[in-house]
Parts: sequence; structure tokens; C-alpha cells
Amino acid sequence: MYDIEIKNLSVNYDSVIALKDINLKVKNKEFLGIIGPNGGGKSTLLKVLLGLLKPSKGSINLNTNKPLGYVPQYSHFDSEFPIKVKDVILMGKLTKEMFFHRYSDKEMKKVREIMDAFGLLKYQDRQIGQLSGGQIQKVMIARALIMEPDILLLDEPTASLDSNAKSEIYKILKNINKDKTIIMVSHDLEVVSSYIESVACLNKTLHYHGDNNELNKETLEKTYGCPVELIAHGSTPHRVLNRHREENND
Amino acid sequence: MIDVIFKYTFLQNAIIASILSSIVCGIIGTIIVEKKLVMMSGGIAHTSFGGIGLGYFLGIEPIIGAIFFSVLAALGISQIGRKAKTKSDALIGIFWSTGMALGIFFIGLTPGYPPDMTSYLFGDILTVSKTYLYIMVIVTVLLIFSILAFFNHIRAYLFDEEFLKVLKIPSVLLESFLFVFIALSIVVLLKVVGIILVIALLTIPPAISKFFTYDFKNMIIGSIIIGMFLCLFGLYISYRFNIPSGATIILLSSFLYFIMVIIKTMKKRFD
Repeated sequence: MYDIEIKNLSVNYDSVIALKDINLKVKNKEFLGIIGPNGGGKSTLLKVLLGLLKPSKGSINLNTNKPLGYVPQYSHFDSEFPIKVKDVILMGKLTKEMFFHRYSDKEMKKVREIMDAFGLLKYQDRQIGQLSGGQIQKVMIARALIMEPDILLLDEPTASLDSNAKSEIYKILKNINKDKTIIMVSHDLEVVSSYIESVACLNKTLHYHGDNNELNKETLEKTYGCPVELIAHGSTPHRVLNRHREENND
Repeated sequence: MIDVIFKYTFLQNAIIASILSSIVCGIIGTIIVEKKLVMMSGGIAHTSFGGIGLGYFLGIEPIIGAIFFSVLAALGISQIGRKAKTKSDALIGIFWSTGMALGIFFIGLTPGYPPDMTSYLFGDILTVSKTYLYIMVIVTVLLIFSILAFFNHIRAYLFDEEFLKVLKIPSVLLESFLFVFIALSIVVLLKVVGIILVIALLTIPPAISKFFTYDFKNMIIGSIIIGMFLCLFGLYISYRFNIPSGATIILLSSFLYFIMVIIKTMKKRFD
């Protein structure tokens, strides 16, 4: 039973190939990490999944009738914008009904519950930019969760966070993963930690590593196109994936 | 002053026009400042000059021409920007200069003595006519109604329009709607403070308002109140000392803004 099935997907920006012949199946309640260098097409892949970009070729099958939850990159929005934390989260409840749209009491209650669970309740009336990086990420995750999605997509949720905030975000994600499928994009190699079930390396083409694979130096060098140093700290659980079977000639 | 107001209709009109433009500026100004559309608004304002020229050339009310040109500019800049690979900054420059050139072109083609264009460049609140006041009232009422009707979606669009697309909400529709309103508002302000000074009245009240609040709704309300104070006080000074009203309002506004900046900096130093 797959939540997402991507077949022969290609995306071109004019003459530039962003994604080439991607095949990917994501299982229900899988926690997939997609790693790869900047410009490797990670954000593009998320945008095609979200329907923000049209594929040039291939197909995407989403096995859900709910919208996909989405946590954009940290730098994506203007943190100076005059909007309160609770109003950011409530955005997840917006619908096509624009005319005199007001949030229901039920929706307000739901937002309070999720803010409480994330320890954001005391910041609910703060302007979004007055929060710390980790707190802002929690707000963004809360906004995605309030959409009640089956599948959650995250674009570099831990970029520019310190290691404490990072592990807090991962703990939240691990918890969410109990009943939701998660795809997380990152160029941060630390994400290849025990939190993540499977890893795909993306640099225009995609290499998927299932549960029992190991990540090695050569694989990473092929993905990143440069020598990669793998540092394993004693206390950080890590694992190594197998070499890609097919040759990447690009 | 009060008895003078009751005596002269032009002063009454000027005061009503001031209040209406403060409302328009408070709403549209907050939107364009927060969405970083100030340059685009400048482009729209100057493109409308072409419409004023066309109005004179065809012998119709110049404001009608200005509305037509400004709406065209607003939609043109957003649509072409999305389709062609031209940076919106460059596009704004193209519309800006083309509009101004068309204005000069049409005025040149108009037979007879050239009309006085300075009232459109610098504005003259003391010459606002009854008809014009009616147009302003209609636009203001429509604007207030729209911002109330679409408040949640407009705020969400300004903050994170991509997320609206994720929710499958037609953000392009919302954007076009907003841009048309920006264009209409600029035309409304044209006669009051003139093309050159439209930008100041759109940016300064929201900038001052942001010193006091971090909430979008309060920022709009604050901008409206600050705008009203600046317009009416500016009008009083201009009447009292017999100096041009548009320039007075703007100079007063920027003066207040810089005073606020100084107070803010001092406060930070002593905190």
C-alpha cells in the first residue's frame, strides 16, 4: 500500500533539467528523508508533489483525498510581517470560501490544543518574527498539522537551527510519524539519523535506499558531486547506506 | 478656522477628501508596504499619466483615462512578470517611462493651449470637485467592504501566498483583485496629492503605524488615524500660511516619521 507513487517524473525549467526520470514509492506512514546538494531538485520535487509546479513528463499518484501538509523553508516568508502566531497557524484552516470567511470556534479550539502541545500557547499573540528559529519551525509544523493531512512534506525544517532545537523538531516529527507519512528534504547529513526510516539521494536523478541499506562515502560523493566527510559522533545514532546499484552518468 | 469651513464649500470638500484618502491610504498603504509593492505602486501612479493625457486628447474626463491606464499597468506588471522572464523591477521601469511618454505624447497631440498638468503631478486638494468626491466615496466604500470581506485571505496572501496555492485557494485571483484596488486607489489619490506624492502618503502612515503595533489589522487602523491627522493638520497649515497643500501634507508626514525614528532610537539607547 503506497501513499505516493511517482513514475518517470521529469521537470524542466525552460531548458534546465531540474528532475530527471524520478521513480519513487512512498509507503504509508513511512518517514522518508531526501538528501542532496543545493540545486539538486529537492524543493522542486516537493513543489511538484504539492501541485505548485507541473511535471514536464511522468505522473504522480497521491493516495489521499486530503490536502498535503507543507512546511516551507525558513527563509521563505517575511518574518517582519505583522501577523500573530495564532493567525499563522489558523491559515491552515483557510478554504476556498473567501467571502466573509471567519474561523469557527471549533477551529480556534483545535489551534489552541496544538499550540498547547507544542508549548506555543504563551506566544500565541506574539508577532511571528519575535519567536526563536525553533519556535517558528514549530509554528509552521502546527500550521501544516492543522490541515489534518495524511502526508506531511517538510523543506529543510532544521536548517539554521542549533542542535537542541533540531532534536526537538525531530522528536515532534517522530511523534507525528505514528499516524502520518512524512517526506523531509534536507541537505543536512545529520538527518540521516535513527529518526528516519528511509533515505533517498537526489541530484536531478533519485536513488532510493530502503530500510536495510547503508549509506557509504561513494554514494554521497556521487550525489553531492564532491568529496563528503562522514562524521559520526559517538552519541549520535547513525547508519550507512548501500552504494547505488545503477551508474549515474550525468 | 471652523466658521471658515462652514463658509467655503471648497474647504469642506478638501476636508472630506482628506478623510477619504486617509482611509484609502491606510488600507492600501499597509498592503503595499508589507508586500513590498511600493515601487510597483510608483510605476502604476506614473503610468496613469498616460491615461490623463489620453483623456485630454479624447476630450473625456482625464480621471477615466487614468483609471484605465493604472488598472492596465497593475495587471500588466503582475501578468507579464509571471509569464515573461523580465524582472518585475525592470517591468515597472518600462511601464513607468512608457506611461509618462504617452502622457506627453497625447498632450502634444491635443489641439489648442496645453492643459495645466501640474495639478496631476503635485495635486491640489483645494480644487477637488463634487463629482470627484463621489468617485472617492464609491472607491472608499468598496475598499472597506472588500478588506472586511476577504480579510483572512488577504492577510494570508500577503504573508505567504505559496501556502494559499498549497491549500488550492486561487491566489492569482486574489492578487489581481488586490492589484486592481491598488490601481484604483492610486487614481483616487492622484487629484488629492498628485502622482509624485502618492507614494509618500501610501508609505509614511503605515511606517509610523508600525512603530506602535505588530498586528495587521491594528496597523491598518493606525495608518488611517495617522493619515487623517497628517492630512487635516497639513491642510490647516497650508491654508493658514497659503502654501501648496500636497507638499505641506507630505513634508509634515516625513517630518513626523523622522521624529518617530529619533524617539525610537533614543528609547532603545536608554533601555
